[in-house]
Amino acid sequence: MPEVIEKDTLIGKRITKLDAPEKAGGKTRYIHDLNVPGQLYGKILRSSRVHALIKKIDTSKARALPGVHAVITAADVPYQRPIGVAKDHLPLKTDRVRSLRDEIAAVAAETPEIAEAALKLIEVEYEDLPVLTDPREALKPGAPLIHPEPHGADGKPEHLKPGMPVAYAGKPDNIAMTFDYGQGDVAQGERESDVVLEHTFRLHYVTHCCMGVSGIIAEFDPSGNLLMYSNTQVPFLHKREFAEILDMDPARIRIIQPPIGGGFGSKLDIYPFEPITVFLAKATRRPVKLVFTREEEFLASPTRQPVILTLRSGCRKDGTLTFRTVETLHDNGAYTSWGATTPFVMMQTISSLYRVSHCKYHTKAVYTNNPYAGSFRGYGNLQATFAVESHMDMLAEAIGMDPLEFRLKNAQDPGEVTPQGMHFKSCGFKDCLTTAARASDYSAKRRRYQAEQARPGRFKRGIGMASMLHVGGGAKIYPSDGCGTILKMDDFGAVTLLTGASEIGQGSETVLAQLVCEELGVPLSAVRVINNDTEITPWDVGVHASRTTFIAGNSAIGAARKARAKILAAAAGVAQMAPEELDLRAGHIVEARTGKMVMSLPKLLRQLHFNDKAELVMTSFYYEPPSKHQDKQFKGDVSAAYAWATQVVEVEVDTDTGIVRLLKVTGAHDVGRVLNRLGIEGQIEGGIVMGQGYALTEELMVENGVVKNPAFRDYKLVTAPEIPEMEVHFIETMDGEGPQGAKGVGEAPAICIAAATANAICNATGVRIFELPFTPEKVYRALHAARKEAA
Amino acid sequence: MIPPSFSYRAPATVSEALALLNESDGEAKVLAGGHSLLPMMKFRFAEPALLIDIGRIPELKGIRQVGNRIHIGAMTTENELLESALLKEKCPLLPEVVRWIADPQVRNRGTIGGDIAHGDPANDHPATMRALEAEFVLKSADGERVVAADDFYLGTYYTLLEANELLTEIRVPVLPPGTGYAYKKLKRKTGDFAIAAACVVLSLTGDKCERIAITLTNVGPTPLRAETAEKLLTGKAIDDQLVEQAAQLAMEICDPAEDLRGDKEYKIHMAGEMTRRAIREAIDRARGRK
Ligand SMILES: Cc1cc2nc3c(=O)[nH]c(=O)nc-3n(C[C@H](O)[C@H](O)[C@H](O)COP(=O)(O)OP(=O)(O)OC[C@H]3O[C@@H](n4cnc5c(N)ncnc54)[C@H](O)[C@@H]3O)c2cc1C
Repeated sequence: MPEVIEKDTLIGKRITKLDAPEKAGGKTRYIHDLNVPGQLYGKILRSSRVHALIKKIDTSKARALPGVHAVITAADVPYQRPIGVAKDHLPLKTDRVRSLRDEIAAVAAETPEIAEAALKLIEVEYEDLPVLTDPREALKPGAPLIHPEPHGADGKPEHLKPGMPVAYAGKPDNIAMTFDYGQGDVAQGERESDVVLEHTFRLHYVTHCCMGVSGIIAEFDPSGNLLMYSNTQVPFLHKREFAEILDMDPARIRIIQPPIGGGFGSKLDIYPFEPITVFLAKATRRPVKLVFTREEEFLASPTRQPVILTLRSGCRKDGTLTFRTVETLHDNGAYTSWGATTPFVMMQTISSLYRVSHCKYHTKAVYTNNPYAGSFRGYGNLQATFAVESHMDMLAEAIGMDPLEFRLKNAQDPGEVTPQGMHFKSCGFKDCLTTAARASDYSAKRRRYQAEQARPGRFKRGIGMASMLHVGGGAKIYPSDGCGTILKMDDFGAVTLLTGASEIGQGSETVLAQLVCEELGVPLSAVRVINNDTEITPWDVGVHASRTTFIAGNSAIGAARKARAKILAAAAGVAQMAPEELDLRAGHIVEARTGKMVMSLPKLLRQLHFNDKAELVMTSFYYEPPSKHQDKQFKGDVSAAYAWATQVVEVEVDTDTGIVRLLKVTGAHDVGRVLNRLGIEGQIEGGIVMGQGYALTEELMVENGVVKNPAFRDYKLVTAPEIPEMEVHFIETMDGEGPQGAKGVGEAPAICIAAATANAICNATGVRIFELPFTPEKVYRALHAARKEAA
Repeated sequence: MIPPSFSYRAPATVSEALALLNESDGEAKVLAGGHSLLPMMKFRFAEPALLIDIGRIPELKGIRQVGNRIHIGAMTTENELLESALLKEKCPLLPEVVRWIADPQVRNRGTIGGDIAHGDPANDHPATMRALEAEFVLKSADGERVVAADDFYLGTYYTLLEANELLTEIRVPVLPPGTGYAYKKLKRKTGDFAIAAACVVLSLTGDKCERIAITLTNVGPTPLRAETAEKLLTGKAIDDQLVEQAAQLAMEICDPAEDLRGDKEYKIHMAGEMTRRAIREAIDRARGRK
């Protein structure tokens, strides 16, 4: 070591993710790779009817199959309780199936093959019921009801005895949830408008397509403690919910998360396969492992919520937005998961992405016999942004204003508190708009491509932009948005960071380690992050809402600062200097002003251990961001910070075939501050590709309640050859609350692509498409309908 | 998604394979690259009792010229076709088509024999083989026959291959200098089967089209040959109007199944569009412009 150590930082550098070697080397042990001694294999029998009464289930042949240890139906688990956001969903169905994914029975056997063979031996008699698959029909009088009667009792403790069915109260109509929000007076807004537009947008089913399919291993120890190896994104909430479902003491439940092969929101809820696996473990007194097949993953994991959205909005000739009225109908599917609550986020885009005084928003999520929707990266914002940003272009065109200028005129500024109550303490929105526009040559290209629309030729080019607003400093959805950290230092100067925040591939481990290094002046190699065991790590609300860097990051910084203070105080005693005169750099205590080395950090730590205080450094910290729950009218400031972005998409349209190619995406993201440049670039590029799939190629085809394409052969993800050139700019607004100034960015990059692509296709061809995805067939038809109309 | 259980054999010679096929009485399936067969087994559309893996039979590999034909072993992989200098020079249409098939992973194991024998009208080789007027060598324990690609396809997954027969070799012509050719395939994205595709092989004398073959992928139960369109163009100087008429005639014979790639009407229009593009490019090539 040199005598003098300069101040160095990892913040903003390109840091390889800590788990990269094992992932790239194929050494990561996902749930699929885990096996525990004595384990059995679970499989689930799902309904073969979309909507029917279950008249009889005969499991006798399956039970008789050698190698089968248990076959269970609802009758075997009278204690089961409904799960999900509205508690309307029994894991094993009692008397009725409401969608094709519905779980009727489950088997635990010595091999997956035997389990599957046993499923084939289970005989189910059904009585078909009328099927409801169009959400528009759900509200009509006489529509089949999906949850007509209570599925059992009311969940009162006295009804929890074995033999008593416990379930959901039932619904006299098909309305699962409604949301209403208003600000100002839309009628007045409409009177003040020079232009009013109204259009209906249709958003489709897509699903997460995690590389690692859903799976769980459940086992009880001889004392009755439950251990689950689970891919959940919310281990601590699940611990509590499982306790409720199983009527157990939460203290007896432990969740270990193996490395998770993709989450994207799909693992935010409890799904029937999880309690069912626990029931099997209970029935067999053996560990039971249940892992989906890919087909099952398509059929029985959640989707993004399909939405029919009617948007009416207006502006004045000078470009001032006047009002916005939105009516949406969400297809909830047969049960209620997080998808139903996405209006909470959609509303924010509608009310607060731009300044608009008068706003009204009404939405209904209705039950149908379709697959049910969960949470999915962006959480409703892709849908809302598609409509709002399509309309921004259309309004601009109607008043003859450049779409960039129109957006700039209405864009939010730092310091703004919106009528909904969101406070934009840092806001780089206008910078995002101008940076993305400049870097992509947006305005000149837009004019040129528009002029070229009428020219002959098969290929047309177009450019389009869209922007987004999303929570970036946590999200006050649950009573707490906190995350705990414990930080421990050993006598070699190594740091163990115990954090509640899960890693689901997003790179949070690396960022948390970097933040700790920044405080403690240790190299990255000195930090271990432990984040996957509820028995060891402190509480966290879960990975969602782009919150981990912000919340867990601040929590980690808090713990590291406590450790730093302790170390510097001890060092000050040894060095006979004031703590403020010292700094931590490269594993050493140095003089802050000169960088002159005072002593090595491990040496100091050993001294701490062996002196009479006998202490190695151990700190803990808890962080709760300054945000507050919305009131009943949805007013409030739900996040400590908000992220902004503008993305510009350039396309080429083959007008003879309808093929749309993305040529380039230029993004400008207000991320507060870049922490790990490599990580954030990867996050944004991945998000762009996910948005591209949503816009162009992905669609879960659901016909009469049946998923038609449960395989990658027919569900088309974007692959390398279609990925466009990407240019990403970072707007660093240095958020005052953010860890080192950073804000969340997890969901942001997927949000704008569909809207920007719609605008680009329109710029290329003059034709506006209101329905996703832009498949060749759909685009071809839209272009030809327009040609016919023109002729 | 778990296929039913089956026995597995990997013979070392063609005659061993033929003997196994003969014994198994229709209960066996030949395993080539497995890219079509294994998905069929997983979905239980196929439940063979025995898989005869022909991947370890050296005589089924290789590309060589014999007179004015090129003989290709059935187990030659798509990537081997793609890299063959001989094909590039003597029958460049074939490597061009291969580039449109699936993705590099599938092409690494998928074989020309499997692509042809599978009888899937969505595959790209079948229409190409018809346009090239290729021949297939079919062997069984009883002997050998050589059949024309034109006669081979009887229906979807239904070909002239008998249960005890093996496709051993594919014979394609050496294309004389001046031959025009093109394969135009429209797909939703990389790695996908065709929405529709057209294959054209033609030769010109002066301005006139001396002979032309036009075939179509995935717009009927088998690869289709647009004979009326071929007749229309034969002996004529092909201009834009004739291209358009030929495309219309090609569209008339299409009978695609509606699926996730589009409905009938869209697919038929796309078959027309691909036909236009293929004829134009083949002419350009025949004239040495491309
Ligand atoms: C994701 C994906 C995308 C694809 N996209 C395309 C595409 O765009 N275009 C395209 O053309 N194909 C495509 N395919 C199909 C692919 O080319 C297959 O490889 C091909 O259809 C079958 O070849 P194989 O060697 O894998 O045969 P296998 O799957 O092993 O066999 C297919 C069938 O042919 C029989 N068979 C095989 N060889 C012989 C033989 N020598 N004699 C008698 N019978 C035989 C088998 O018994 C079986 O019934 C795709 C496949 C996948 C998985």
